[in-house]
Amino acid sequence: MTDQKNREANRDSNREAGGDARPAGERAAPLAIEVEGLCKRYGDHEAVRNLSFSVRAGEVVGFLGPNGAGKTTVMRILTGFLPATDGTARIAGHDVFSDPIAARRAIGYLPETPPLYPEMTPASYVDFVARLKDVPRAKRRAAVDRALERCGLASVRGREIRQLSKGYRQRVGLAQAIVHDPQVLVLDEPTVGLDPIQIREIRALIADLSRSGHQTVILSTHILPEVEAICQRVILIGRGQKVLDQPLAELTKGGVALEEVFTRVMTRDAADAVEKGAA
Amino acid sequence: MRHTLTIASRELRSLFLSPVAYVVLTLWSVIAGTFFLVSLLTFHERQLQLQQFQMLEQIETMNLNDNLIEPFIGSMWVIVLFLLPAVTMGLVASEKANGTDELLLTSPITIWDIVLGKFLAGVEFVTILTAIAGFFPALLFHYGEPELGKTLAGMLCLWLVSVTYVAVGVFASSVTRNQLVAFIFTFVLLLILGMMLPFIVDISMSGSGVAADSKVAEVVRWMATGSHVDRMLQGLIDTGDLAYYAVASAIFLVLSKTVIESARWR
Amino acid sequence: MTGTALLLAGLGGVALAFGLLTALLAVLQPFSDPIWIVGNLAVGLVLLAASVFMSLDTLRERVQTGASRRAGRYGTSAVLGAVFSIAILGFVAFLSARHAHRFDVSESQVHTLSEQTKGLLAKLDQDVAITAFFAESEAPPVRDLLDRYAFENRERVELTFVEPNDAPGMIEELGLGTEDLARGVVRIALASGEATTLTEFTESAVTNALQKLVKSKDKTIYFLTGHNERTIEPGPDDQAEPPMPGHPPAPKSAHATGPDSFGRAADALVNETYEVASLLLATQSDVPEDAAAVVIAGPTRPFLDGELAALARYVERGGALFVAVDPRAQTNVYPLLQGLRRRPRRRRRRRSGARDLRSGDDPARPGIRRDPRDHPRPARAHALPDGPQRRARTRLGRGLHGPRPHEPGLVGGARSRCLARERPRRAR
Repeated sequence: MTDQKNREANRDSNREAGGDARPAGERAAPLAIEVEGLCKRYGDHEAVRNLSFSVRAGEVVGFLGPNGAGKTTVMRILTGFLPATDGTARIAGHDVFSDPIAARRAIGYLPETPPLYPEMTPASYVDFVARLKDVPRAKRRAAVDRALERCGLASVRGREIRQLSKGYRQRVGLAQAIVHDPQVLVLDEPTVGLDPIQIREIRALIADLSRSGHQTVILSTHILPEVEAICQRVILIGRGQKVLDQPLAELTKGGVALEEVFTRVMTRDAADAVEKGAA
Repeated sequence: MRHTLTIASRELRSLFLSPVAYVVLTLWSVIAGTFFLVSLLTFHERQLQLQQFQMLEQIETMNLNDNLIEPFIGSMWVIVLFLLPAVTMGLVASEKANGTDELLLTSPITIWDIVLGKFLAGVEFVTILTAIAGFFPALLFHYGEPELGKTLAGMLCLWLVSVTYVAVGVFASSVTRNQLVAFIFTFVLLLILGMMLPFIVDISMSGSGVAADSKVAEVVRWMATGSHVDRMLQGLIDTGDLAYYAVASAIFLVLSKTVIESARWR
Repeated sequence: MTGTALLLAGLGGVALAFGLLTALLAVLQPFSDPIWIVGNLAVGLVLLAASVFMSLDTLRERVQTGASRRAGRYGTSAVLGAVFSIAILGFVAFLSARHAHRFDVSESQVHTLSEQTKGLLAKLDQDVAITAFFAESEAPPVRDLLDRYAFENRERVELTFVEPNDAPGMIEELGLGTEDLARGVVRIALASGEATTLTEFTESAVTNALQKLVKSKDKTIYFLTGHNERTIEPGPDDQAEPPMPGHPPAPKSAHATGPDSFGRAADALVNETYEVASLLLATQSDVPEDAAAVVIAGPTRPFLDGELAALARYVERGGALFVAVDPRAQTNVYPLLQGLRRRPRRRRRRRSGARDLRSGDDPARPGIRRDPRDHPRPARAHALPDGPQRRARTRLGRGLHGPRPHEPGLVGGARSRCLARERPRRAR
């Protein structure tokens, strides 16, 4: 009973956050990602609790939260790698549980560790992924070249992946995610473990993708400046629950730094938890 | 189907980019050559011996198929059992170790595409192995006149056994992310399937008289690869034997599919 | 599940598996101690129950909160699907083992039973139990051979292999001698109780034995006597032929072995499971009912009218006659044949089997050669069954060992189609 009420409340808040804050022009854009009442348990541990949100086509959303907050789990559910315990998720209108193939076709996904075959070259690897993702044969070559080009891999396309630096490997992962020109791009901590210059390059690349393409990007991170640099909207989650869902502009209105907001929200969340535990 | 081929061709390419494939191919060629040479010398020596003792009747019945090719292939399929785990161990386990299973499972393909792709890559590899082994009997056609039908039946048998073992390897490899564990598990499974089962029957049978033909013993014996090899090597193709290879492969592929799929709900 | 519960579950599983394994072994070998089975099963069940009990709280919570609802459904359906598929595959395997077809791809069809044997097996009207007293590992060729019998008629023939050391009671009961057992014994028993044992393991021996057990009436071939025909009975001047070098001596024959006799032909027919007998029509009013064919081989004295009438009656009722006449001989058998030639040629078939009886190129031997001058020719060539012509064809060529070995297979007409020459197989 309480569970249901909770969910409804959540949905309402979601609508407020997503809806009101948006300019009238964008409201018409179709929903690229819809998540409702998502739950995920691992045994006794509840990784995601009753999460609902939606993302409109063309938006770049930062999925923010401390380590272990459940960001990766949510992304894995969205991409169909893990099943949710409860709730629904739709990508470009396709339910990821009942129509997984169509949903996955609409997604480009860069997992936390890029899924690379070290013995292959970037060119052959991206070509392989293009085949997996049903890029038509006639367009495949061009698509592969374009993805490599955009990720700045043209110079290393014939080298073995195992010889590439970490930054390049991350780019290969990104090239793999965009090769089939997906409607939705899911990036799980795309800049983790890179040096500052590489981070800047990757960010520029993502910004470029969202600007030039029509792609919806949802990227997870625990680095605040990253969100400020590229995202239009922030979804903050803590311990599996949504804590905040606001456009960046609104959030930092009046010169408040995002970090301050983040800290405030997280401590409030922690306090809530303590309170709940006491009750 | 298209995805199956995509995965199979990538797997095969990776296999040949790693040293394992070459090590196995080299070992296989050396062993096949040695065995063939030994079989040939044994054959020749025996023939000389028989001629020396004027045992014309036995010489008459000696022939390349029964006395050379059959024992040769009969020992080669056992070698498959020892070498193949090295090839199949990485089929699925390496995907998990690389994290590339996340790519495959989030691509618009089915799990059957993955399983069959891996299987097909292994099948292509053992086809190469069979072709290498088949080179030696083929040599005999130049110097003598073995029966084509029997020789081909023998090669088919070697190929079918290898294909079945690939399915076992795919399964063992999908159970774990550690290639060494996959290797050992494959090896143990193949040992049981290929060699142990008849022994289990025989050991438990000694001292129990007529029970040697009981239903349980029959089923256990049916499960052993060895009981489906001899007939075919001798040139008698039994649809029941063919069905054994097909069913055994299919069972292990179904198991692999279930295990890989279980990542989704465990 | 807590760690302890997991540990208990693991131990329970191991114990249970061990119990089931011993149970399986007990099925195969009834002597193992039942306390092991019961004990293991009991311990396993108790441990599993304890583990479930310990994790009961967690389980209840999971069920209540609906956790793992979707995953559970997914998992259950996946596991059920796998179990179902494997069950179907097992069934397919069972069916395919039951309804197997065999294709013999060997050039000389070594794995195929002769038409004669197949026909005999197809006509079986009662169950046949073949019991082979053999150390199984020592007798793959025998196993293969008997297996072919069992495979040919799976409804009727049941094949059992018995390790002689394992069944002393059975051996005593059947009165098998130790000498025989050392070489191996095959016992063929009919459901009606008749049984025979044999110590020679070739297709012809087995088929012969089986044939004798289920003997049907019209299987005797009569060789006519009384007109100075070539005989099959051994005469006083018959001597055993010296064996060819490199050959085992020819098996002892009950029939004539002289160069002018038909003893070889008779031997060959016996090998094909026919009964062979001489027939003196002068003392009998009619050809016996059980005649499959009557052979008149080179008569030189005239027939009595009564004899000709008897033969004519025999032919009239559908009997087969095989006549070979020396063109120079004085005989009055032609009118009988002439009369036959105008008759419609029903059931008149000529098979290669008849041709095989020709005794090589030796003109001195009467054989059953057809004369170029139209008659005399056999009135009716009764279809004699084809025997498999087994010859080791493949042989390492000159390149490896010089000249080809002597080919004894073609010496002697009867021998060339002798069924008994099974090819010994490589010992495994």
